[in-house]
Amino acid sequence: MRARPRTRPLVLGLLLRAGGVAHAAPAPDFAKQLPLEVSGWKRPARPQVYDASNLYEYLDGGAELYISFGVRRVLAFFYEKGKDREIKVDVFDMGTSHNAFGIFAHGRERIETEVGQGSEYSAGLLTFWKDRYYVSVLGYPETEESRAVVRALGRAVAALVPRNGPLPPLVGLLPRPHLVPASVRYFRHHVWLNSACFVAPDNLLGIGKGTEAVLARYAPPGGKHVLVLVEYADAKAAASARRTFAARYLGSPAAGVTRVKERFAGIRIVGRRAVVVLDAPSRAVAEQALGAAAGVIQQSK
Amino acid sequence: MKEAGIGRREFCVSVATVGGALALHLPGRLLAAPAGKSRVVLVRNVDVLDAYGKPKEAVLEQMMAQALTALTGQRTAREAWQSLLGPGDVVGIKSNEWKYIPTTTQLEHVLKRGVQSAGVPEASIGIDDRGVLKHPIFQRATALVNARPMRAHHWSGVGSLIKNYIMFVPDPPSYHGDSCADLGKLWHLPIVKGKTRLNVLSMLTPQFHGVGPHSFNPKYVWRYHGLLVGVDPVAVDSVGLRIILARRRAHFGDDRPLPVPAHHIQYADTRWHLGTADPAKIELVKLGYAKDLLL
Repeated sequence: MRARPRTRPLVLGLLLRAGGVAHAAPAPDFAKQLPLEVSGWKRPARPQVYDASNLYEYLDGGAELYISFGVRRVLAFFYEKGKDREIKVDVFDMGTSHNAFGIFAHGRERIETEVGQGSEYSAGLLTFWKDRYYVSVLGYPETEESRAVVRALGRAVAALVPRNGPLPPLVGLLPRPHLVPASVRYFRHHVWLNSACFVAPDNLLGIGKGTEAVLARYAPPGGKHVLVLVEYADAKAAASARRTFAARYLGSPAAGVTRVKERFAGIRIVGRRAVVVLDAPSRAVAEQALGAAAGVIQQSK
Repeated sequence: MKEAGIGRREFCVSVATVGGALALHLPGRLLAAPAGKSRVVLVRNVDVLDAYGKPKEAVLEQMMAQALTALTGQRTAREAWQSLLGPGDVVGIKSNEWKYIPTTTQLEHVLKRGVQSAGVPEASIGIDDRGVLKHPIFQRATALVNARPMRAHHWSGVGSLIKNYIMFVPDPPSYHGDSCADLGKLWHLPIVKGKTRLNVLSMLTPQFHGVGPHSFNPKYVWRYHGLLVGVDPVAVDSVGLRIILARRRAHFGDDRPLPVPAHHIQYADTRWHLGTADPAKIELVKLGYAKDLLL
């Protein structure tokens, strides 16, 4: 049963933020500019419109994920062709390109660049991001025809977004050697720290408002591990997070690299940034990973 | 009860924790079962799905009969239903209408007929999901049957039997704190407390990973051909979660956690005392198709 949201007028032409810097960006009028019909698939003239306050009515339990990435507004377009054949086009205005990248990267399994600044197509679902927009086009059940229309609609949405947006700078501080590119995650809510390996239900690293975090898997010859970088408001906040993490995860406030559940973990502070290694197969791999990341951060200054 | 190899004397569904906390009002012979373990029945039938993945009602009916007789120790499905419900009950069947993997009308029909076989008149049976708070049957229900599929979920780890009662509150997001940690609290609401007689977790086509805003991608849905049935919702959810995690390991090739932990199941045990999540305290009865069991 499709949710019935209250209809709201589209407010366009706002001053918007992209990449953390205020820009007077042109706002696409998706409702006007997206085609009303593609290969016999038709949509109503007006999309359904949601924001963080009522998104749960539409996403059926999935809204919190988008709220955790700062969603501002969602336009939901439904293209239909006959009975029980539907393609959903959901355009998420995430406020910044950082958040748009974050929500896109959250679920991706591989790197594709067919649409926007990064995309992924799998079994009827196309997702991509461009500037501050994250877009999902879902055609289910998938057919050869619906697959072509899903891709066409994705390209149509992307074409309406006039420019690319910047990646979070923190992503650029991840060491490149042995990085698994599709594993890179960017987030500002602590719960996503557990997405690569479970750390704790609590917010041990103090990730939240005023912080940013990236996480990635690495696959060097010595063994796979996970690296996390967290950027705090200042060095004092970073040091505080280090103490909490070391005390509660590593077992002592002064702990260095430590064996945790038959693997190795550690934390190092560089200015207002924390480097955390998780799930490393040996002390040497953990130390090497911390050193490599710290080196990249120091060189960036 | 030859097919399950379990007789009345061996029947040991433990409702000590569930009944203790919720006063389930189960018949005396169920509550008299030896304490110690919660029985969960997994029944699988490779013929239950058609070519399009839709369940075949007749096969589902057989599966439910197998599961219920194994669960209750009764000889027939009718007797099993009669051990759970009586003619005076008003029964709400809490379903789940999520578009992509719903409880299915076929399973709803099977459950409704089962409830009727216990002597409950059709006029005293309601089936609903999002409308339960306004549904007259649910408003005056004396008993609930809880049925939904298990799937990976963005914010609660998995969509579970415990989570299925979130529609019994007018403001579901109020239960979203700490990745839905305290969904078990829902089961203490007056509208549901002590009323749940049976939990059916559909594992016909579960989803082990969710992507995209609708948390659905057929790539991560597989045909498991199973139903998990029990009185203890925490025990049933725990077994379902083990299957989901095992499928993730098989697919991803590593011990990848769910994006958020499904800790609401554990907390339903330790904080809300709805049942047991401890595998050592769960007696799992496996019936039928055994290939790719993941347990």
